[in-house]
Amino acid sequence: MSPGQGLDHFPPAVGEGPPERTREITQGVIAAYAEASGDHNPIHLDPEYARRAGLPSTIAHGLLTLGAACASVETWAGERAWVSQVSCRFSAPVRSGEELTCTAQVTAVDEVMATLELAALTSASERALTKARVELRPRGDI
Amino acid sequence: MAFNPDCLGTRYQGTPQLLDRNRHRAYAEAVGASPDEEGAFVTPLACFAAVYLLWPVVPQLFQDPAVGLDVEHLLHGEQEFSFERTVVFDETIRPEGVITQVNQRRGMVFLEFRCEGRDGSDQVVARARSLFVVQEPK
Repeated sequence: MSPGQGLDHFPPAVGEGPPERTREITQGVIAAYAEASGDHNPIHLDPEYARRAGLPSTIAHGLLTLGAACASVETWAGERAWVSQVSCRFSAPVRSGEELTCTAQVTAVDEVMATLELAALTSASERALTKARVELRPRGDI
Repeated sequence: MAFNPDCLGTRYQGTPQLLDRNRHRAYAEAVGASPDEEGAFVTPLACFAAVYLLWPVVPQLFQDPAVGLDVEHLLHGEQEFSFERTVVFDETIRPEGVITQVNQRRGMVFLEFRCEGRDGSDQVVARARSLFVVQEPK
């Protein structure tokens, strides 16, 4: 399957995955996520508060970063598979205005599950997530 | 406000959360998801549901004076979600959370918080494990 196409078989092969996506995490994106999620912690929204907390600027919500990385997997999985588990360690903050590049690749498969490793790299070349994994199961096994 | 290490086992009940399409659209646009050919968002559902599993109870934890977390110095350490089945639009999830581990070492507080979301039949649909890390004042 070429990049850009959705998953059309299960299990996918090791090495397959959704296409890489890069997106600028603007303050507007962060504010939209705060509104959608209900998480209005000022560390994400108030630059002065963020500076008092020792940060150079506001930072994206951790779950915005994870959500962005996971969204491409779910879009790719489409009607063929569903997400049964998502996990990660938040290793570096994504600062307002940075670009975030998300990739995902299948690393293990069996008849009932495919494991993808996620990566989320900031424009400062920092890994925003480590130990980030998604487990997919084929639809129809529940 | 000092952190209270005796908070282990503290429980929080969240208000039931309806997974409606308007909230989903706002969430999907915020995380940069791609709409389908008709402009509708079918995914992402997993992290969307997870957010509404966590956020009715996590603010209670953060604002609980009996726990005393210094949220100004809080880092989101780790996160894990698991699902028993796919969630569907227009179902309601009732979340609850509990503090399951507390450690203090090297000037940091490590607090593990586990949540479960139950459906209308009282079956667990989703689980979350969060590790929050807080730097204590020097």
